[in-house]
Amino acid sequence: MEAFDGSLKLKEITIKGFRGYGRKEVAFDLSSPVTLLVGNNRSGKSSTLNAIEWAIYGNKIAKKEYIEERNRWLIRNRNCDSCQVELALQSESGKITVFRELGTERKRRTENFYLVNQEGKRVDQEETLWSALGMEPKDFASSAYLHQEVIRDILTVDPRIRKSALDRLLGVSELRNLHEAFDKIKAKDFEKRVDKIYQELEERIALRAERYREEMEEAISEGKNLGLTKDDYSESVFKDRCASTLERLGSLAQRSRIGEINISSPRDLSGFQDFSDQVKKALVKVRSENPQIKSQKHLIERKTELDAALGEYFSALKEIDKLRKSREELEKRGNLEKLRSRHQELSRREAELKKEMEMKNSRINVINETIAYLERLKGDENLQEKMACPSCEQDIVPAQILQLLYRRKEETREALGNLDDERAEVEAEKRELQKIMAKLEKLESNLLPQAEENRDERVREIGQLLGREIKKDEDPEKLVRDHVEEIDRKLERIKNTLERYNRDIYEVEESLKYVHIIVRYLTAKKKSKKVEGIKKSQEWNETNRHRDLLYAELDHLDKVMEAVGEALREISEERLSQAREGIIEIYRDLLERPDFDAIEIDPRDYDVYAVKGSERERLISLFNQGDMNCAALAIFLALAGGKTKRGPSFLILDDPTQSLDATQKTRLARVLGKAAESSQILLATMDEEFVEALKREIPKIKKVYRFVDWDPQEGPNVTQE
Amino acid sequence: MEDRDRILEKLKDKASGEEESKKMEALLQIAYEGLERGLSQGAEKRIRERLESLMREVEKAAQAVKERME
Repeated sequence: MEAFDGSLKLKEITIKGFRGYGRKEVAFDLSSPVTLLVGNNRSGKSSTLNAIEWAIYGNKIAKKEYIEERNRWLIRNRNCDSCQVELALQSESGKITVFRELGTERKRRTENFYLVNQEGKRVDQEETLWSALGMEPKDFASSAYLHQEVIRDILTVDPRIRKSALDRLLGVSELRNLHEAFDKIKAKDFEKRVDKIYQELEERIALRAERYREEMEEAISEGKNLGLTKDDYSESVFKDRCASTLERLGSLAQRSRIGEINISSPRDLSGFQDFSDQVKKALVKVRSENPQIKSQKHLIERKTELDAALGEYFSALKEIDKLRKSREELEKRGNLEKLRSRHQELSRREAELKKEMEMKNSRINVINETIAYLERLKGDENLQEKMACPSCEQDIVPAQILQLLYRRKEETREALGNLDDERAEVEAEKRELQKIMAKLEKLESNLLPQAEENRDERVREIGQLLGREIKKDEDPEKLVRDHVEEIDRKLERIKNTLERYNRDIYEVEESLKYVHIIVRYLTAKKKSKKVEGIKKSQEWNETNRHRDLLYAELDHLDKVMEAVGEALREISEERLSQAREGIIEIYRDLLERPDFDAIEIDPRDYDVYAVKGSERERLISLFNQGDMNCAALAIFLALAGGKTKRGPSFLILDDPTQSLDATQKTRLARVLGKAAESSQILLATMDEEFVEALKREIPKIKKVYRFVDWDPQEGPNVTQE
Repeated sequence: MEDRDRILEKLKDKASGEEESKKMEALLQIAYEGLERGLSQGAEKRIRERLESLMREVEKAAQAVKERME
């Protein structure tokens, strides 16, 4: 199949199940120069036109950039399982049959497309057909198929939509998109990013230079405190110092008997850190492994142990002393033997008192009984007279006896009270003595022996620490004091030795600091030189090279955009210029306005103007809807069907007479008659007045299909006139 | 004359030499390839990718400069 065949015309179409079409298959012969589809709204006319578009492009037109209204269209009739459209196109070289089907299989949507070309070969690629038509989906939607969206887009206030619609009619939408793509890329943004990179680099260079200068100054200032002079900041001094540091460290190692130090002098500045770490590590070893330090540590430990043992010994003595003082306090009333004797004495007295009290109580009982007897006699006898005693039968005067007994009873009671008081005192003293005796017994038999045993244990412990037995007559405290004094003398000697040793270690550390300052200075100086020379480095040159490559590309981009823009302007202007007369001619055929006898499209912004002589006015702010539709029809028919035409040799018009008056309809019919001389026309309308005008003005009309009525199940009922 | 041919002719006029002309043709080709995949966004994306790739080279080289300074 050839890439583009401008002779392609509509031949026939068969539709089933597509949108307004139902189960009934309907076929149309479209091969006439003009075919009219006539019927009321919702009778299936537009579905017929849409079926052509769908057969060729499927759902590709349903995009925001093309015809947004097509989006979410119901393609398959709800009452049908599938929809099929078979479209035949005729060219000079033969017939092309396009077949598209949409069905459902296991609830999944299936679409099937193929075409049979002029050679009878089946082709599955839709793009082959588009290429033959010379139109992609977006172009077809506005350049071959006039519907209300196209009229709206041509005259809209929105320049983006207007440009897009007219670009398609002029066939330059691809160039416009290309230009837009270049235009959206702002070279300035990339230049700003590059500038930022260079600015960052400059700032970093300045910061680094400042930092290294400060580091050098700091090193010199610190070096001054250590006595470094200007001449010391050299690699040779650095090497000499490292060597002397090693020498001192070696001597220390020998004295501390840790063996040979295996450290090499650094070859250059970069090796210093490692050297410094090794020297510091060796110094730690020199410190910890020194025998004097070990001895010092041992003696201090021994001293601490002796101090602790002596402390415990003192505590034991204190405890004994405390117990003895307690004993003394308790023995104030006599020792344990004396207290025991007194206790026995008190026990005896207590028994005597008990006995005496029993006797007194018995006597009181007898007196009480006798008094009771005598008092019982009061009623029968005269107590003042003599009578025989019932016990001894001697003469007695009861009253006298009774008085005597009362006195005796009182005396005995008093004596008994005294005895009881004494008994209480004896008991109290006994209890106190028992307590004291218990405490003394505990002290004597338990606490004091334990405390003394503890003291003896502490003495034995001190003896162990001193390494000898301590005899009874020896004072452990004195022995410890003497020994500690000896330790202190030894520690003093060690301290003096270690002070010298530590001085040597300190000197090694100082020497390391000295070298470190030199290294810091020399390293900072080296880096400073590196920073100063960075702009001559290979890396810097490489950055410049890549920046230049980017800038060159941005320059190319600018030139390409310029070239695309120029080409776009030229082509648009050429095509507009070619179509200009055609547009004016159709405009005048359609409209007869006394104020503006022409319209023109400004090639710069595609705005549409009404023109008369040198005067021009924006059409949209001047014309009514009917006149605007006429202007849009003039532009469409001139560009899509005139000399500048690209694409197939047919035009599809859907309800083009909206807002037109009777005169304009007649004029449009006449214009379409002229258009039909170069393009095949398929037109849908519900306007009977327009149909009559078409019949009148276009004798070529061969086919008129009437959409009589419509059934949701069966689809349109179509008859041919 | 094809649209693209017309642009190429203009590029030749704008180029300072054959090398630059070829480079601009290559850029145009990239844009056209992007267009085939959609609208202007596709072309813009392709050109931007190319520029971003060059930008990354600049950034990489600048990073090397920074590392040299350390």
